[in-house]
Formats: sequence, structure tokens, C-alpha cells
Amino acid sequence: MASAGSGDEKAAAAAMITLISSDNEKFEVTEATATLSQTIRHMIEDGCTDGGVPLPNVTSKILARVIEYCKKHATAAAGEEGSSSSFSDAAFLEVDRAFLEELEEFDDAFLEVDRATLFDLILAANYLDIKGLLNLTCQKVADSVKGKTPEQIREMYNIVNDLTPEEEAEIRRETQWAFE
Amino acid sequence: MEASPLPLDLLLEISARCDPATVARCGATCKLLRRHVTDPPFLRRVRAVSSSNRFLVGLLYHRSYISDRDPPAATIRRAQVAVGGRDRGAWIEVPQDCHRRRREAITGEAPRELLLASSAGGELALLVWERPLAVCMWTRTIASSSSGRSWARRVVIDRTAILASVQPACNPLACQRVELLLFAEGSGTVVFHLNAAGTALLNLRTLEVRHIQRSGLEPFEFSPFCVYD
Repeated sequence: MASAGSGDEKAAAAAMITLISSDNEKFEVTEATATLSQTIRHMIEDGCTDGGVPLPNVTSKILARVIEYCKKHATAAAGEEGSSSSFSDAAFLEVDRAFLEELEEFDDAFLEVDRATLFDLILAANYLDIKGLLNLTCQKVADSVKGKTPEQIREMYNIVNDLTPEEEAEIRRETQWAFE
Repeated sequence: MEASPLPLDLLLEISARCDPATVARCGATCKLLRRHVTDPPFLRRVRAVSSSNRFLVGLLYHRSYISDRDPPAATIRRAQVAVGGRDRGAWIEVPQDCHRRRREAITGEAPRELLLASSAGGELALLVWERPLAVCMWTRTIASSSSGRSWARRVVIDRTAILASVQPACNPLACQRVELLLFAEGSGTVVFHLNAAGTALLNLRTLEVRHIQRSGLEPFEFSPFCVYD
């Protein structure tokens, strides 16, 4: 994992970025992979990635998962670009569809994590500004909140209930339809 | 108790991807979330993450910007069509005939008697509560080149049909005031409030009316809490 992306790119492999997790583990990734993160993209544009990019908010465990996601999605993006020139339209569509299916399967498998990890992935996706990953992980949590009672939601988010019994009764009365 | 693992911004980001009933229940967890999910900016967040533009903002009367010089008649004939945000709204003229049929010619406070919707065929439609108790839909038709576009009216649902589905708490004769609250484009559902009866849903495609609760929908009126699917 630490030598991520070493052989898979051609000459572009020259542009490698080193990401440093909060627990000081180093991850080498291609620029194409790293720039899925807008935060890192901006750092690269500003030319401040020499000596590695420290990510004090992301642990090595989570960073490894995030990189796994970015590599897959960066490859898919590159694949789409490459195929458009070398295939006929029909073949291109076929490849495109296969890519999308594969990507969806990857995303589904990627989300098979416990809740704490999922929350950490959301925090990392937000901090690194990776839109696709943020959307994917938030949607996963949104799907799991569905059908839960306010008490179950509080437990899930670790929210302290500061509503008075009167306020709670009022909310239930006002949004009766949501509690049926 | 330790703090929530996610900051408020991310809790809202997740809530924006939930169905309306779940959002309402999220709003019932604590004061902070309640305040934020009933706040108009939350609706913008919902719109930003929606794959399709599920929600029409609805119809906003030209009221807060009325200047003293505007004659009252002008303020009532114009309505702002706000699709995807107030700032990107456009003005449409509300048909004359529609005003004659409306129950009250109130000018100042905006009565929720008009609602922007889309018809089953996908055209822009104006829903109007008409006296004594009916909801009508006006759609813009492409008329002959000389007169431009005109409006066509059709009764969507009348008194008998409404009262058959919505049991009023008192004499049905007292149920006359309809407030059109929201329109959900995804399922073609209109949320309306009928006095003395409560909140009900009207599906424009099936013309089915479903009574959902006795009380109003007031505190959540700006939020996308209509059952869109």
C-alpha cells in the first residue's frame, strides 16, 4: 500500500506525490490519483507538495482506504478518456458501461465497513474535498438513517437530546406524518 | 457523553440525502438540528445534492418587494415563478379569469391560493384554489401566433372528491379554505391544508387525495417535507 501506484502508469509515473498520515505513514500516489482531492489539487497547483503532503486529520488506516478509492476512480476516469480515441462509438459505449458497472461494484464493496470507519471516511472526504467519495459515504449513512426513530438517530450520531418533553410533543404534533 | 462524531455541517449533508420523513425525524433529535433542517438554506442543500430537480420552490407572491407606488391590482396579477431558487426566478402573468374565480382578492398578505406545479404531461401549471372548494389547474397552451400563449383551465378535483377522502372535524360546509403548500415534482404530489380537516396530499397523476394529519404543516413549510415517492 505504501508504494501505491508504482508500476501502473507510463511516463506520468514520474509525477508522484507523497501523502503523510497523522500517524506519520507515507503513501506514494500518482498525481492523477491525488488530484481527485481538490485540497491536494490546490496544493499541487501552488507547488507546495515537495517533501510530502502532511494530512494531520487522517489516520493511515483511513488514508489507505481513501487512496484505494481514488486509485480506482482515477483509473476509471483515465480509461474513459483513453478509450474514446481508440474505439468505435459502440465499443466505447460497451467499455464505458463495463467500467461503470465495475465501479459500482467497487463502491458497494468499498462501503462494507463499520459505522465508525464510515464516519471517518466522511470526515476525510470532506477534509480532502473529494466530492464523489463524500457523496457516496453520505448517501450510505442517509440510507441507514431511513426508518429510524429520533432516539435511534441520536444514538447513531451521539446527539444529546436537549428538547423539553413539551417541545418533543409539539414536534410530533406538527410532523405527525413523519412518525406514522 | 462525548460529542457527535460528525460536525453539524456533515450531519446536514447526510440529512439532505434523506427522505422527507427521515429529515423530520432528524429534526426531532435536538434543538440544533431542528433549527437547521427547518431553515431555508437546508432546502438549497437538498437541491444541490438532488439528482433531479425534484422540488419546485412554489409560487411566491410579489409581496415583500411591493413599493407604495404599485397599484394593488398589479401586485396580484403578477406572480414570481421561482424554479431552483429565488434569485433565478422569472415573472409570469397570472390569467385574469383565474383571479375572478379565486375566492378572495386579497392583495397584501399572500394567501396560499396559488401554487406552481407541473402537469402530468410535464407542462408548467398553476394550481388555484377556487370557490367554493375546488383545486384547478391552469396550463399554458401554445395558441395561434397572433395571440401568443394563453391559459387553459381544468378542474383537478372538486368538493365531493376532496371531502370523500378528507374527513373534516366539523360540518363539511365549514371546510372552505384551502392552502396549497408544496408541490413535489418527482411524484406529482401537491400538499395542501384544508381548514378544520388538516393536511392532505393530492396526486396530480392519479388524482388521488390522501389525508395525512389533522394539524397543519406550518413550521416546516419551507422544507421539502412532502412525500415525493
